[in-house]
Amino acid sequence: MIGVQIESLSRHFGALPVLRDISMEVQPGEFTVLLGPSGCGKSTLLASIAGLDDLQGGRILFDSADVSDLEPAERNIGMVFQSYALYPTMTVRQNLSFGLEVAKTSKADIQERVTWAAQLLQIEPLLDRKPSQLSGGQRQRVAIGRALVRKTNLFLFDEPLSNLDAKLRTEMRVEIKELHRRLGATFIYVTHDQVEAMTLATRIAIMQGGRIEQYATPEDVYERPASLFVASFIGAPPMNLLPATLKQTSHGVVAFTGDHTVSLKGYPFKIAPADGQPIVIGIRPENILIDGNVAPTLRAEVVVVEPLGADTLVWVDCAANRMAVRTHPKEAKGLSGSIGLSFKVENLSIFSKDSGLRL
Amino acid sequence: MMARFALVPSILLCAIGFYGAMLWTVVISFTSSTITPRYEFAGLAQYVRLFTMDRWHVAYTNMFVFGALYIACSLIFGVLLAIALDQSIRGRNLLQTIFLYPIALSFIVTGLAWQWLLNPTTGLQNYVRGLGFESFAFDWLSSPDRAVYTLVIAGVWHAAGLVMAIMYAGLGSVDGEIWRAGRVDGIPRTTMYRRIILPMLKPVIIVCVVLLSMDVIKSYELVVAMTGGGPGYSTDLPAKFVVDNLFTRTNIGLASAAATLMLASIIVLLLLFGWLQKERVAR
Repeated sequence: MIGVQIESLSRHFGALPVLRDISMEVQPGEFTVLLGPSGCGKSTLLASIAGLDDLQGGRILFDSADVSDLEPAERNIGMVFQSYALYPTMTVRQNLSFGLEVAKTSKADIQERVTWAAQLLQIEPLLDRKPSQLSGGQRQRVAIGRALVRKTNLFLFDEPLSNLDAKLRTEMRVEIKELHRRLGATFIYVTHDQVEAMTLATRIAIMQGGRIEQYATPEDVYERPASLFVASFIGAPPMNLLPATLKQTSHGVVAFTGDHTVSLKGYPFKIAPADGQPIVIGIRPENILIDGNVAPTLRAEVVVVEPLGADTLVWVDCAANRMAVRTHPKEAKGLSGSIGLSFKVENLSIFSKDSGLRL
Repeated sequence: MMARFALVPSILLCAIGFYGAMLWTVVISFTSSTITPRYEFAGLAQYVRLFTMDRWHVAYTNMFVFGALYIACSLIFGVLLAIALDQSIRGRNLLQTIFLYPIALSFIVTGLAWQWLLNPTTGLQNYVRGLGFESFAFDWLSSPDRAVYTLVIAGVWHAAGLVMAIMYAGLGSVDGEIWRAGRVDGIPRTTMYRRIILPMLKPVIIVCVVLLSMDVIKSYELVVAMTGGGPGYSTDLPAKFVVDNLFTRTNIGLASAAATLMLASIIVLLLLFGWLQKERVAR
């Protein structure tokens, strides 16, 4: 198992900065997912860890040894690419063994490693085929196999599932997680798919504009997003966001949004809030309750009801803000007109409107 | 319907002009025609006569000597140039233009230019001797055994740029992630080219070979401009043999027989390439 330390990494293509002063630490044996929209720098960060891109600043350490100036092969990593990048004129067996042959590994050793990887990935019947005779999922397995035979403890995946169809993607996702468990190695995985990130990762690094917005466990990222960007990126539908103004009153801190007053008493503010500060209240759709009481927290107009099977999404308009409420199908039946909504303060996320950061 | 009718003249023209002419040539090759076509069946007499002529044997052998060397050297130089271009970032466009220029020239110009360069009394040999190296000799052009190689030199200079351009486009189409995968695997660049990239570009290489083969079979201008088939008839090629017999030696039957044999050679080559392509698809 290898731990990876990244120290104030920066990378730019010409005048365009792609990575801005990134620092993070991947613990040995961890499954870290780099998640973000296209162009956020996640693939560039992975390429930097692999040594495929030159750095303009900062250091990368594997187990506290500086590898910043090492060639990818010298870093001893296994890497899986989005387009699989198999050598098309070679058979599966040659694809797996070629790197080892060039590195002058003994024949017996190569044979053993190829057999081991092929067994692990169940590609033994395919060993004598060419990549063009394989399906997408099989190619992906071979690509993983080529990384496995390098007998390394650090594996890098660059959007490995994005070329597969939805069903296969789900299957391969489970297999990759299983592989991580069996190998006990460190995995760093790039994706733009939040479901992949949430299901696979032990920790997710959410990136935006060449910076890491939050690096935390999937639960933390989901329940306590560190910024407005994370809040609106994670979750389908994403977190409901209500612009509001903060007020200090004799009853504690309250927020005014439209005609409504929301008490924030008991919210664990990280920084003491200022009176009159513009904020954004974030609340997950499943944390909103449809409230039949006379004095609910919010009143909203039902727009549409979307039954999803296991649960139902109720879209409502509340003070010019469109919000989603996730509820039980039974409860949503026949819902229309004006309804009352309520939620618990501990389920809220409060962000500063100016900085976008969690308060 | 009208649109199809509109094509009829050009289809007819094509059929008569190309395939008719081919057929006529084949027919004539079995007659005793000399200065004008005479439809008098003579069996294989023209072919028998052809095979007793040393000049035909030289011309036909030259086609293979010249062809093999021309194709091999053009491919090697073209591929190396393309790899050099693929590697270097700076001056890529300039280099590409420089190496592509010869294709814009006709083989006549190429032939004349290289004739001057290689002519022992006016060209390279004279120049180097002028520099003081009195014993320097480079007189392949006037040597019956070696003159055919001067054709190869000029031909390769002419064609390597084309191979370079085609191969460079092929190299550019290779997925960058293959290169990255190679770097993670620790495979040196030369090994990457030799074992992975060039085998991937086999279809492109076949296209180059086909284009170069057509040059070889039809090559006439280069010989005329450079050596005139000489010294003697040591650098004769089948195309030149045919034209000479057809127009200056007024021996239509013999020329037709030679042309028919050229056609047969081309058909054999085409079948060979077709088979190679099929092999590729099958695998």
